[in-house]
Amino acid sequence: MINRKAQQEMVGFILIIVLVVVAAVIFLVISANKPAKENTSVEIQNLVSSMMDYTTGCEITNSLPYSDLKHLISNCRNNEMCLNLGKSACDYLNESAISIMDDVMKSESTVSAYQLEIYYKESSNSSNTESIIPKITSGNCTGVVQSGFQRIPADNGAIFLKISFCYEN
Amino acid sequence: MGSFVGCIKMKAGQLRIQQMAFMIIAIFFFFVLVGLAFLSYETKTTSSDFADLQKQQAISSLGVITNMPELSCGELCLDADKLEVMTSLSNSYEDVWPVASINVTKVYPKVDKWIKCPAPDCNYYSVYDSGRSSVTQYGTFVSLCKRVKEDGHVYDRCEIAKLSVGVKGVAGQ
Repeated sequence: MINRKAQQEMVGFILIIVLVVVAAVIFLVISANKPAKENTSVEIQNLVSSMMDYTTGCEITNSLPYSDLKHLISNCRNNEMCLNLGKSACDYLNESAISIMDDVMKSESTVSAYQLEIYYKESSNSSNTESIIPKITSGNCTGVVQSGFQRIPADNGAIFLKISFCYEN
Repeated sequence: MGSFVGCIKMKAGQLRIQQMAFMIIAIFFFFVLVGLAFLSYETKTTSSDFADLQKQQAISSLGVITNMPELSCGELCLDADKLEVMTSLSNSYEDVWPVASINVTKVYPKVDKWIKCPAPDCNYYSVYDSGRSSVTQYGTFVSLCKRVKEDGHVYDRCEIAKLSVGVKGVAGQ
């Protein structure tokens, strides 16, 4: 009789533990399933916009004015040359993007890492992307990632310039 | 004998009730602690989101400055020539500016030495400074464009700059 009562108490105790574990698992599953929101930042968005307007030193038509970065990206995709510099638009774009990001990082003390991507996408639903220049990355990210992008219509799709910054807390 | 057995049974029953009461109290405190931990986590996240939102709003309001015809040359574009003029006229416009200070610094191409405008090859504009202390600085990237003439061609040469604005008393800061 005493044995049976002890067993009943153990069952009750185990039931409580199981209940708590189930509640914790449900909470964890709900937390994990929350869609990771893409943090867009107005500041980065403005950086992308001002980068697009930046006047480069590349002359595509051998006459001034120089291409701005937005046109240089399109020139690169069309495999054109910077005639005044004697190098391909893509090489110059890559050099310019690295140089811009390095200088921008000097003015951003809270940014520990960055990533710059320039790619072409056929349609917004498509997952296939074609890189215009290799992805530019620097630093190790341990904080919060925020990004901004701009879309340039091209052919049947669009070219995207996307910048992500990692902010340390 | 019968009353002795009854007394023992009653004591055992009381003990059982006491045991159950302790168990219920323990479970109650456990759930209260879990709830408190959850609430503190949520409060922390919410206050961090609020501060972030405040910052984003302040940066968005910088658009008001960049769209002022006295400085603007388009969307998110500041005219370097207008800035030079406004730098020398800043005191006359004291009542116009909705902020405590306005500075524009070139970010790219690379700047090695700060030279205040107006001056040859300058890279730093102090458009307005009210002299107020304890202001919160907000900054955003803009295009800094200047109309130039080169080999007979006239065009707008744009560089990347940072517009910094001093705001007094922003909530949550």
